[in-house]
Amino acid sequence: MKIAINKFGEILTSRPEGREAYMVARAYMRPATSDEPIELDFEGVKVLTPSWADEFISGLRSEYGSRVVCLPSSNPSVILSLQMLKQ
Amino acid sequence: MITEQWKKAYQWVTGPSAEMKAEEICASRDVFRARLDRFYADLLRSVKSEAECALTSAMVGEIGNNCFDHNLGQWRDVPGCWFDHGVLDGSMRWIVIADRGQGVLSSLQRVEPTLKTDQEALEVAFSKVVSGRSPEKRGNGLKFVRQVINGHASQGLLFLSGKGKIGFGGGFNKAESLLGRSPNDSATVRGTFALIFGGEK
Repeated sequence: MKIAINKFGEILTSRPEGREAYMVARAYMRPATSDEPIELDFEGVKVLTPSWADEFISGLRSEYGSRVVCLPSSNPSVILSLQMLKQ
Repeated sequence: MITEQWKKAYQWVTGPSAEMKAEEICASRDVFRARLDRFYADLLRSVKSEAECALTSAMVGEIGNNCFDHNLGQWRDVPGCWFDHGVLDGSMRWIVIADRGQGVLSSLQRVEPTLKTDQEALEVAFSKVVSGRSPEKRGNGLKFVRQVINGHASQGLLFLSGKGKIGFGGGFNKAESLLGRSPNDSATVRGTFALIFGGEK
């Protein structure tokens, strides 16, 4: 299952927005099987912060663990925010 | 002179009390969010680099949202954050974000009670993954800001809270001077004051 992150907006900065996006994804974007990967596609996202990413991705990972995969992005705010989450 | 706009924000955040009417104040996160969207669009027209706009806007988003994340119910008097930006001398982009909240020391002392000074608190805030919003797992935002600044030689950051001061990148001493502060200035910032400067116009 692929989640197009830009459907939540192009400028993604605050924790409350990230948390809300996670809650929506949790409710409406469910994988078809218990082992299907969940791919996060950041194409079209203009600005991402570690705060938004933390709320959204950590939320999904608490439910789906390592099945959550971030697809490569060329946007430096996406790259650096995802690096910060790994620390 | 554009630095008057810096001084206006600095006086707002150092004064014993503050007016609530300044147009630069974002009284709620929604207002800040709307102005951040406009900032991104204005910046993109100016610098024409999506990569630069992305990183600068992300920094502004982290610092501005921090004002609300850590100060809801904790404002000294005026709720919200001061958000202003422009270009100095036709070449140096600048952004000011400030709040009259509890400040970094008060926020971090909840989780790091050994912190005694504003200076210690700022150094921890920009170097360790720690947040006053414990037990929530937070605290990456200012480290992110530091990485962005340090990754761009032409950018700088001056960040003040209480009597503490921290700076990254080139030229923050000059920025402090343009602000009208001396390096050992004893004025107290009643909340936080961030000045980002440099980069492409």
